[in-house]
Amino acid sequence: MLISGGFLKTLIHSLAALPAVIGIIELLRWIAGVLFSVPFEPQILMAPSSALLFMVYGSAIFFRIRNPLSHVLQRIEVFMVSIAAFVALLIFFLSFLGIHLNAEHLGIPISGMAGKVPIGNMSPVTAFCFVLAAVSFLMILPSTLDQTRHAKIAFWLACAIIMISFFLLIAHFLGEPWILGKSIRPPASSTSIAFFALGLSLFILDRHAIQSKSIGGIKETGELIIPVFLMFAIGVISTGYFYFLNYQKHYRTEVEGTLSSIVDLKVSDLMQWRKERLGDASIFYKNANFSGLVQRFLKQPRNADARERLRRWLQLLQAAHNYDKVFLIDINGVERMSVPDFPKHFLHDNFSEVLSSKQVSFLDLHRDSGMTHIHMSIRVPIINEQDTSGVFAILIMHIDPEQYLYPVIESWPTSSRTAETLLIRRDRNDVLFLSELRFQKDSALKVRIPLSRKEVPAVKAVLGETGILEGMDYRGKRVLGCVRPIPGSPWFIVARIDMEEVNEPTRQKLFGLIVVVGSLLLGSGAYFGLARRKQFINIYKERYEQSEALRSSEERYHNILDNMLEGCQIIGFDWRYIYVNDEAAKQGGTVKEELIDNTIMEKYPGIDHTEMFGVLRDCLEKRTTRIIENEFIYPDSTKRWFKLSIEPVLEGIFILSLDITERKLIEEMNRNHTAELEQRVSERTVQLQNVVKELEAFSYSVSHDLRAPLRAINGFATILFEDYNEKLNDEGKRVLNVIRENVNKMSNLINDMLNLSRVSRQDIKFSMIDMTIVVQNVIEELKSGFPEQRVRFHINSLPMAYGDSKMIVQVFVNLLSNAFKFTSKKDNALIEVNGWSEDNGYVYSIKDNGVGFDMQYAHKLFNIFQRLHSSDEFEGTGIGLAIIKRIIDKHGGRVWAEGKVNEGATFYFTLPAKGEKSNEYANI
Amino acid sequence: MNMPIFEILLVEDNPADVELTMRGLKKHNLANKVFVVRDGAEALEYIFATGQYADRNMEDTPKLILLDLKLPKVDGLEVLQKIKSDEKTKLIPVVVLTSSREEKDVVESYKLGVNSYIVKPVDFDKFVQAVGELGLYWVLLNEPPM
Repeated sequence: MLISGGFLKTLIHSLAALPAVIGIIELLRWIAGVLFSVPFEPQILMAPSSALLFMVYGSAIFFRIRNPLSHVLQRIEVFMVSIAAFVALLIFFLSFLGIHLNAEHLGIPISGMAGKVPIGNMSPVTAFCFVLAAVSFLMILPSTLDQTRHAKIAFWLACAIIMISFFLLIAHFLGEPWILGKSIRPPASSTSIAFFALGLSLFILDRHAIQSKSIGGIKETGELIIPVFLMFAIGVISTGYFYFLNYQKHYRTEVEGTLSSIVDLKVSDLMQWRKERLGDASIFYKNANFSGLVQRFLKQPRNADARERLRRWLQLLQAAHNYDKVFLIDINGVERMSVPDFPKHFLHDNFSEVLSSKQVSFLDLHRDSGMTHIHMSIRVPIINEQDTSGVFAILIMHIDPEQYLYPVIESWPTSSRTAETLLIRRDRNDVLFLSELRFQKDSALKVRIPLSRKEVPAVKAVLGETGILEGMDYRGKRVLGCVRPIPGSPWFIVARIDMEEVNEPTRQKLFGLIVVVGSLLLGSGAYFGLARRKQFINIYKERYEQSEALRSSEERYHNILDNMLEGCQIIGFDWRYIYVNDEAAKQGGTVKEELIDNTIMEKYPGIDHTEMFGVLRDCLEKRTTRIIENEFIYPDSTKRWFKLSIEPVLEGIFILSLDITERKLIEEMNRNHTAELEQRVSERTVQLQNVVKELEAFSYSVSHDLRAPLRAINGFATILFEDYNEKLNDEGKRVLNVIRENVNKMSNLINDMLNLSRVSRQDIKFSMIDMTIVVQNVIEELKSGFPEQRVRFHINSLPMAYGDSKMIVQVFVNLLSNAFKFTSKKDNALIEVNGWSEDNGYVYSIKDNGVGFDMQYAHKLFNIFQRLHSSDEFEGTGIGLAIIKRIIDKHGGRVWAEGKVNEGATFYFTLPAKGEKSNEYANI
Repeated sequence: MNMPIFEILLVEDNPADVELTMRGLKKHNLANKVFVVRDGAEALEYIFATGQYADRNMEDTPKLILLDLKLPKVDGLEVLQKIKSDEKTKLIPVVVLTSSREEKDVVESYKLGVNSYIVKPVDFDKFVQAVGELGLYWVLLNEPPM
């Protein structure tokens, strides 16, 4: 973690707060400056607007690092930074239009110019950096940091800010802040420092955000080393480069200064020297005593006194000022006196100009013909002030340049291998070197350089240039020179030094720098390399651990897959088997090795025309999951069923196959069985239907054919009774009656049986039935059937019922007629009919106080032909209750009875409410 | 052959029933006006004066036809249907006199336009009474639309 540990944390917090602190300090400086009326130096200062923006940015980043989770703070930060960025952008564009807002001064009265721009306004570079910083900051926010791209943008923007501020700092450090020219204000040094801190904070914030979001993780940090190293290398190299340039410049200036001062010194020396010489001359020039003495000597050459006095003058002069020779000539050029007394020498000097000008003058350095040594001379015309006869003699003072002049010129105050001073003058179209050259012996007054060679500093000098200049010297070497004319003389002085020597220290410095920078780069490169290596090692270690973990988990799953009871196979996008477990291979009728790396089409030719293949292709292309059951036909034509679960995986498709042949067989058997059963049922149904038809035919014929003979028996018995009444005795008549009664019983029995059969066959026609009315009607009818019987009725209000009205009437007829029948022997017969609603329907009861029955036979009551009384006691067929049970069953209700011998019986039946009826029995 | 005019046509295959019916009618003095046929085919021949009854005058329609349903050859319902679907005979009152209480027989008969449906009681007295009342009503009291 970047942000960890107390010290590091404090450092990062300080770094984040630094821009804000700098901003505050700069603002205070402005205010203090105004308050104490300190004039603002025309230097580069941080604008108040920049200071304010730094306060905004610094605090935003500070709080972002401190409270990264606060949403409220984040909103404020985003708002403030956005506003600040907008302001910076505005200033950036306005500065290009040359508009400088006074609002930037924040009310501080600032005026003045720095370079070509007013002070107190933000530099466009500063504004640009503020915009970059804002974008970088906004990119780091958690809400926008979902993408690694954002983090990268933020990272590179922070780097850009660091780089820019770094360059600016170097520029300030080297004292050359105006890197963009005088018209574009550079950021102040404090601004650069603040941006450096800001860039670093953003950088750290970005890294921190990435780590806390764990985007990219190791990879990001791994990649980071190279740009950081590059940045460092560029910084080191550019620092070195700038340092070198600066040093070179400074050294050159220094050398130039030296040259100039040497030249200036020599010029003044020479001027002084000439002035002194002229001063020497002036002692004799227009000196009445001296001219009188000369005049006397010339007129009286033998006058010893005059000669001796003159000689003393001249000796004094020669000795005092170390003249090579002082001598006096007359206007004819004849030497009259010489000190020291050398042999006469030939005077080539044309001193007519002295005669005409009557002024003291120098005869420049020259070599007299036939003489080897060089000298210069001062010529003093001797004039008698009183008479106007003019010049009558000339005093000539020979100066040996070796005595003073040449040493002065040749002297060099510092030790130098190549530096020298030259004394030159123009000699027609040449430059003549007057002094001895350092690198050329016997050169004085011998070496000439034509004026056409303009690269030579000496030529430049005589052509009017002064000061520092570069060029080629007489040796053809590059030199740095300083030239200056010596006023009042034809001389020029040239101080020159070889470029080689000038550059040598800088070259040495360069070597030194290269060594330092190189070793820094090597060292840091090694460090970063090691760091990167270590990181790589960590990465690979982590990867190894991950892959190891993956491998072990893979192995685990592999084992699971291998040993699964289901078949597992993975087919790649090229339809090749990637993985097959033993079970899958077994299911495929082959072994693993046969399948792996082969395509499914190769292994199972023709499979691409099957429906299953379509499903696989869908899964492969459209990534759909399917579960299908598929019949697999082996080459030997055996078939097995498989349940295939097909789902898309990274490598292609995963197929889980389960052999379901057994289940399929059972299903098949079940299906066959069911079909067989259905077949059987339908056969039975047909049989039953036939039976029913037979039964119908039977009952039809029973009703017809059985009744016809009964009618005949009855009818003919009656005829016998009527027509042969007289011939029959009483016993005969009784027998005939027995016959007729039994025939009637038989007839009733047949009727009841037909009823029962009809009830069973008929469908129910449902409708709402008013049970009270039904009961009343039935009772009315029964009353007329049993006219002699006196029965009391209690009919309570009965709930409406839902059923087949005819059948329900039949139920009441049967139950009530039973009640009539079984109360016929009671004196106070009472029949109660009740009805009430129950859970899902209605219950109706018919209670009588008749003969009742023994409850132990209750379960038999509703059986067909079941009778509990002899037909002597109560006539009946034993079918009535069976019919009731059939009807109630058909309606989905229940019927039961309670009773006690001689106390009566209660019959109950239920009918389901509308909608509650179960049709279970509807077709019975 | 010039046949005597009969007021009642009794279609009945069972001789016992014929005798019992005749006895019932006789008690109401209607027996001499009854012609008996023994199956459906014969009934149709008689009614439409075809076959063995071809020389019978079809204009002399019986005043009442007593029809049993269960008949040899052509059954009662078919006979009824033929009578009621012919313009010339459909006005003849037909009373089904049968042992069948089958609802479908009853419903079918009424659908075909039977005038009355009587279930022959097993009890002889009741039977005689029912036949007698029938005969009286349809032969003596009922005024056919002309």
